[in-house]
Amino acid sequence: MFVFLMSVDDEVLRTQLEEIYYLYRKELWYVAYDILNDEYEAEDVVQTALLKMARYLEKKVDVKCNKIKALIVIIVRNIAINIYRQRKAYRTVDFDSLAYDLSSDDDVIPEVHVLRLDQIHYVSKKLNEIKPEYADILALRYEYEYTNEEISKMLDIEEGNARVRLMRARRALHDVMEGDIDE
Amino acid sequence: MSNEKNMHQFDELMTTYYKQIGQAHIENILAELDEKRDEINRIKIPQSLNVWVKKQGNKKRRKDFYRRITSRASLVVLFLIASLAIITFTVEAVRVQVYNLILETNERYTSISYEEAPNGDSGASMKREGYYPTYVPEGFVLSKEESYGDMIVTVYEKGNEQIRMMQSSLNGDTQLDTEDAEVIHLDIQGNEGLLILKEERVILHWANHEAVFDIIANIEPEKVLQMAESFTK
Repeated sequence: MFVFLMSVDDEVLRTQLEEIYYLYRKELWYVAYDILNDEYEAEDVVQTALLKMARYLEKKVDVKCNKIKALIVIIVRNIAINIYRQRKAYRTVDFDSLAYDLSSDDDVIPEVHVLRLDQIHYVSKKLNEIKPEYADILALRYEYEYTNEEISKMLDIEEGNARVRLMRARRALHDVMEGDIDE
Repeated sequence: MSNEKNMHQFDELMTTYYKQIGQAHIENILAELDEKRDEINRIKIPQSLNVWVKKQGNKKRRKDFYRRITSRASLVVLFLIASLAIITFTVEAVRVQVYNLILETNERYTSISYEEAPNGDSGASMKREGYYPTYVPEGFVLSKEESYGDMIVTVYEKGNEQIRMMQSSLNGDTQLDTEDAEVIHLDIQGNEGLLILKEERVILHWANHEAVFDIIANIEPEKVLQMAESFTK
């Protein structure tokens, strides 16, 4: 009877977490392992990312869509980068020292920019090459429309850190747009 | 006022631009994965990760299941329907399989028996030489190997950690303690198996065409699975 119950249950209720895993497990593993080069850490990252993802997905969402695929890749990548930095004993950001940065969000001067929509893929790619976390956080904030709090929980960082990263991402983007960062 | 309005419009414009950048970034991620498709397809995912996901799924399903089944009456009805279904399943299954794993679960244990099919070949008794794992977790040494009738018991130890393996003929029943345990159905060398996780204890139960195997250990389930997959004669 137990087998029967389990099989019925499996057919009807395959969880979103399982769906995402079986659809994208190779991509997720690849991204995590590519950064960490360690199987155990890569496994931890994939597990953490799946649990975080499950918390933020709406019940009716289509897990096969590209937007979900990119989202889970972004989460895996950022968690893996966090672990990589911890492993390398990188210093964490001191938020008090950055307080002046947060006093104003007017970090863009309108006159200096020309928005070239035909170059948007190039600009995005360039930003990703400079620092993938910057491109990731812009996508999470403006395309996925997550709040800073949600982003911080998703990426395992402090909320203040998410705000700082977002601000720096915008600045870096403007530098790319102005051509301040050479190829 | 006009300046404020301009700034507001500029903010809106930049928000739209950032959104476009976000969309482009998603497309870039997907394109990058596509470029590495061959490399990604060659990746072999660790079995332990598959087990973890299955376990998470089972937790969720059980939670949902108990939420749905709220009354004793509905539980009884479900039990009756399921009982009829498993009988049908069994009758159908014996026509094509030599042995069938029959499980009956109540609140405290899972009872398992292996029955010979009416038209199946004889040969249920286990050959005496038995099976042995080619993989044993590092540091474990063989501490005991004994035969009790049809059963061979092998014990490996490493300090306080112990792996107890039992193999016996297909005749007879096995009762496994599954009360408050995590029960995962999986595949061991092409045969259906049960992984039971209860507190610190791991029980793996499976059978092939010759024998029934149990591994009981207080080590990581991944290592128990690896041992089981390495079983050979």
